[in-house]
Amino acid sequence: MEFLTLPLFHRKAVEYVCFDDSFRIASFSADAARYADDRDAVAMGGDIRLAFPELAGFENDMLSMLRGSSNPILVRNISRSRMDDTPAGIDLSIETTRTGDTLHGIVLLEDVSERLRIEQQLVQQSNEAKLLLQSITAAKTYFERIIDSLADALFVTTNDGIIRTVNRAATDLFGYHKGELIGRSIQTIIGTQELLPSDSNLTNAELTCTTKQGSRIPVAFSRSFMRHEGPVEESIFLGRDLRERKNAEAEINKLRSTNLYLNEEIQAEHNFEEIIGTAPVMKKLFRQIEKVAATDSTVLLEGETGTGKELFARAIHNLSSRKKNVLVKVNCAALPAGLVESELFGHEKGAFTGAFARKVGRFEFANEGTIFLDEIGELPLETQVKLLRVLQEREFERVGGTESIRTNVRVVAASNRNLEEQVQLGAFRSDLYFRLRVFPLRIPPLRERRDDIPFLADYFIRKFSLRMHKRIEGLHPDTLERMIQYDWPGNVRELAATLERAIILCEGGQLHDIDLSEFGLKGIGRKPSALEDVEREHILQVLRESDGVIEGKNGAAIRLKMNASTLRSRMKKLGIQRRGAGFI
Amino acid sequence: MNNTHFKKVCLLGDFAVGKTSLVRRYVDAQFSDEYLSTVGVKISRKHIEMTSRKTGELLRAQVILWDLEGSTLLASTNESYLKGAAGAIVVGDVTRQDTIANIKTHITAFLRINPNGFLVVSYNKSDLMAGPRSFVSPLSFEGHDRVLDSIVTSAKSGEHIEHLFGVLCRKLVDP
Ligand SMILES: Nc1nc2c(ncn2[C@@H]2O[C@H](COP(=O)(O)OP(=O)(O)OP(=O)(O)O)[C@@H](O)[C@H]2O)c(=O)[nH]1
Ligand SMILES: [Mg+2]
Repeated sequence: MEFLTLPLFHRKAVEYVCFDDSFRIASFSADAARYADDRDAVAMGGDIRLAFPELAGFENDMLSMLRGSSNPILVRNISRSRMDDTPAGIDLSIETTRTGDTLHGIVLLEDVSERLRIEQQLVQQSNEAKLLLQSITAAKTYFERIIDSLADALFVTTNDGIIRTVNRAATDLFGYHKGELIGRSIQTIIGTQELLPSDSNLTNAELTCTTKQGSRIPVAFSRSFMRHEGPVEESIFLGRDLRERKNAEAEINKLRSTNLYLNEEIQAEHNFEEIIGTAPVMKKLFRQIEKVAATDSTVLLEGETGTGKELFARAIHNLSSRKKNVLVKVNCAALPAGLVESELFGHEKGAFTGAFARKVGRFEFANEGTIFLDEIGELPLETQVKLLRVLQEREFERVGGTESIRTNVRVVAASNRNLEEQVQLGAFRSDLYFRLRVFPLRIPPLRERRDDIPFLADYFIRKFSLRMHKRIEGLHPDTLERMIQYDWPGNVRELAATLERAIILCEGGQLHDIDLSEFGLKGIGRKPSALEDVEREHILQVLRESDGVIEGKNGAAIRLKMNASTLRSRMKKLGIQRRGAGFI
Repeated sequence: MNNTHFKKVCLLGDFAVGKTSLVRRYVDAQFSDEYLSTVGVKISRKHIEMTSRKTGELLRAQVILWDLEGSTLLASTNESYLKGAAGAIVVGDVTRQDTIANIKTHITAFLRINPNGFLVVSYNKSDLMAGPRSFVSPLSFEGHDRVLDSIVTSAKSGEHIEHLFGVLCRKLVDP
């Protein structure tokens, strides 16, 4: 507050107190005591600082003033907490006065109560106004901070989309300065896509927005309305940067698929821990597998259900240089027809209804590794073309995509159907069949290696009893004999399941009285009578000798002295089927 | 009474931070929610006694408190308010960020007039602070050897008022 001279108020008489160089009061004017904090000190000629405490601290100045080497000091607007009838406001000045040769210290006291009262009112008003302004500013800053702390980009626009304000996330995300955005249309940001009519509510709409630098970014926009008194209405647009989420989605997608495949791998692991084979056919098979594993050649595994084709696929993978990479299993029969292609080759976002994000297919995922296509015979014809292309050119496109993706995948296919027959029926492309048959491996059914049954049984009994914490002492010799004789249409899988069930039911001791037909395939799996058994074996033997030919002069029918059609119906009755070049 | 020690101590800070209230709490043990702006300076005195930590003798002093007007700080005409002060209490209002930010300015102004003075900082109105009663200053006073302490206070509740004045007075009277 500047010094106020208000002529309205007449100057009160100035009182004085004189002091010496030991700060003792020497003399004072008649009314001076009224200004003192300690009136007795004045009357008794005491320390002037007791009478006027505001002089404390000025000792050095007072002394040098007495030596004539210092300027007067003015202290304006003094009030005291202890007032009594002291004037409410005092101006105090420390000066010197000369009597002859001597300089005396003098304190001049002036009653400025009226002026102080006016000044106080002005200051009070001014301060209160400032406080109010400060609290408004503080509130504004507070809300601006909140808005600027939002992770989402915020735009406040007029009804027709003219931007009125934006937050920091908005300027950061779109690369504009605040000033560049205010006054522009929101369309600058979100393009001419969906916006307006003004009453349309936008909720998490995925828009492709353009930044100042021209890059296109996915942003989820929501719009809400801010209603004011009267007709004015404003819109709030909140935009969330989707780039990170998109990346995360892709990542999760990949992880999910890894997880999925891993689960399948784990399950596979539990099918049969190892291949047990002592029969000569098996030993021969093992040698073949060792040889083919070392190459990158495509392998076709043919064998009845339950023969453990997957185990052989795994063996091929593990014996190959791709061992350190992933083995991806695809059961072609388990995939819904409509999704096979996208599962195998992936798809781009929007390739079909429900394709919300890009998906990496299993071929892409299996890159540098091995892909095991189980039940390849179930693959739809359209997908077969694509698969053929992968085998020939080692590249493919995602569903809905145009970009060719190169892949380095070793294919191991398996089928329990007679693929050749499928080809003849027109259900399987012959070109694909020959591509796959580069290295065909036939996994023999269990009944062709009955010598392995005791070993397999022993293996599974140990495995399951350990898992179930049961003491099983093995098979009763009679039971084992029956098992060896049994044909096992479900092959090793059936053997394993039969023993698992038996061990669950068994209290301990030896296993016997096992129901062998429980898991067999209907029709094929029925237990043949001893006579039929002999007949069947005989027919099969003759068929082998005649190289699988039924009719003609070297055919099996003539050797068996039977009519060809009679032989066929007999074979059907006995469950003899053509399998590859031979019969089973 | 002859050898009475006088110590001039100023209260500095933006307006309405609670300078008057702190003095009133310290001197009269009273508080009022009403705001009456101080114009110029309001003088209070407090007689203090303490035992010397070095000699064990009883030390007496008159502390003259200069409760200054909050809005006049930088006017050169007010140099006389600060002149000859041995110490100062610089006050900020924890509910008003600006007043905290200005603490440094007040300290500088005071030390310009009294380079050998000592200061304490009061973060006042702690009763209005939500949550735990700790106040992290945005200013770093470390290494500022003239500032003896920074104390969270409340003239309203009386929190840390004795400590605030005590730290400074001890330094001035029993250095
Ligand atoms: N809640 C609360 N209010 C306080 C406290 N200290 C002061 N106040 C209030 O804050 C307002 C200002 O207090 P004053 O002591 O007059 O502030 P000042 O610093 O002397 O203000 P000026 O003289 O204008 O510079 C008053 O309404 C006080 O009641 C406190 O510790 N807590
Ligand atoms: Mg005040």
